[in-house]
Amino acid sequence: MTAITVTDLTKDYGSVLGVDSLSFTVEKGEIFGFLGPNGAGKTTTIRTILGLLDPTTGTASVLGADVSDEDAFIDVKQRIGYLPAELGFNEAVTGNALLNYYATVKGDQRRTELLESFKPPLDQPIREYSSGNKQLLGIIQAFMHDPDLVVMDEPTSGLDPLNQAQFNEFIRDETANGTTIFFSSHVLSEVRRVCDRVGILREGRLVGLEDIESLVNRGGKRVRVQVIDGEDMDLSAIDGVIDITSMGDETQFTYAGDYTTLCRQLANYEILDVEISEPPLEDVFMHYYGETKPYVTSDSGEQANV
Amino acid sequence: MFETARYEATQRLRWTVGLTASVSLYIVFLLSYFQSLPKEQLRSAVDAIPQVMLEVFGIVELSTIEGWLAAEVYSFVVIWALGIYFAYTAAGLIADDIEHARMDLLLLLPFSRSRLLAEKFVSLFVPIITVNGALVVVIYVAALGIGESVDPVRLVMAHVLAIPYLLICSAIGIYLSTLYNRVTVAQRIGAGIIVVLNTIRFVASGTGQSWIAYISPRAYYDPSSILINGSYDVVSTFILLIATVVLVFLSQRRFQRRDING
Repeated sequence: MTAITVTDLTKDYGSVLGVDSLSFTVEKGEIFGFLGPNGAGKTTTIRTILGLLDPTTGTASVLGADVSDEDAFIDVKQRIGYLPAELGFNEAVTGNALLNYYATVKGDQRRTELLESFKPPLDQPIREYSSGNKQLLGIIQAFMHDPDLVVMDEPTSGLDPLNQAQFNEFIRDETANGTTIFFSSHVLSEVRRVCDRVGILREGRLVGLEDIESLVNRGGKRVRVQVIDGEDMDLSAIDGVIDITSMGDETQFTYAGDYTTLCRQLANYEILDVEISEPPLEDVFMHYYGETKPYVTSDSGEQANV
Repeated sequence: MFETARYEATQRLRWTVGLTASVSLYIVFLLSYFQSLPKEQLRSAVDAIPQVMLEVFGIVELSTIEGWLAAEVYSFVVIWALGIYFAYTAAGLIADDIEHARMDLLLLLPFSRSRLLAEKFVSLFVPIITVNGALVVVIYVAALGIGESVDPVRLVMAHVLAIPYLLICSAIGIYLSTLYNRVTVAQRIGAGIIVVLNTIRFVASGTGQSWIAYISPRAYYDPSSILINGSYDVVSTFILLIATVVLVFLSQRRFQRRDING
């Protein structure tokens, strides 16, 4: 069963093409990451599949309803939660007043439970909220009516690391309970930690669609080798070695080849230290973007020793 | 039903109270000013005002309490100030939520865009009815306070029939709200349109194209004739109400089809 089906979706703004012939599906119960640099068309895609933008051509259906058919989509909206990238709230009201209004329209079966995990200052007017607290309020409103599908656009922006970790754990629990999560991000490490499958968007086109494991494997490993002083090391001839850099007695490179070959080659040197780790996801991402480095961020603590 | 209308009206309660209080105070001031002016001077003032100005500002006479109310309170306060105010406010109902990214979450609530727009429009009934209801009491009591009396039936009718006039001004505003992404643009155009419509009678008589005057909502609400002669025209009121319904419907259509850009 699919939660979201997008078929040949194009959104043309006239002066610029927002997304171009996009096709993908999101299965029920999965966490689907939608990855791309700013301006790649992630938000346009999300806004189109939520009926905020009308597709120029192509179709999108969410939980079985065509998003262009407003009547059919009204019932489905009851089962969707949405956390937009730019959270717009009526700043004059308190968080409680806003949630009370949402509750009268879409229900609030899970409000109390959510407030145990996420604690924005609900008695204060929203204008006094920090961006992190606004984001917490956004998360509560997205999940309060127990939706089957939650669409989130850059959900962890504004959250401090503690809240981010709590949020990541929370959405994993949600999918364990059957909720489908569609999650856009330009932060690779975040997608890596949370998602099952990932779609990669570049200039409005889908350039990759695979499970997260394959994505990481495709990027190869980061290898750092330290040899004894004075030894001259040249590994550039080995098949699968790319992006090689040397500094003093230390050489770093990305390796996408066979480990046995690498070990045999390394055995020719007096090795002091070897570290093979997962690559920063920018490197994985570069695979899809070629030479032009996109604007992406990733935290530096990504590498894990293997 | 009407959760959104109730929520929006609640948000406007403080604003409604402020509006009603300030308009009431201004009217008390206008009536005490009337008491202090020599009536002979007011009679000659009307003769001194150019005919065009009399028409634009709906002045028939100034020396009676009814004539003074019609010219100063109803023409200036209700037709001009409140007309512009409600067109301006309604012009923000949709555009403001879009410009400040609030519309995204509203449109993900399980109702149609048409219903959202209709409920936002209905939420304006609260300030419109409150300010008119309060003015009936304030004017009646203030007139007694300065030793004058106003026919209560005429007074009530002047305000009952002001409601369709303010509704059409609001409908013009909400239609503009669906056309523009920037709230200040919608609001300024809304206020400008009411000014143009209120002065169009002057243009009409100047060009000999008298039919132009009938474009203006003001042609269908004449507080001077209600207060001074006790006469009013139910057909005109229906025309305003029908025009309001048509404009709200057109706004719904426009809002249904437009993209909500982030």
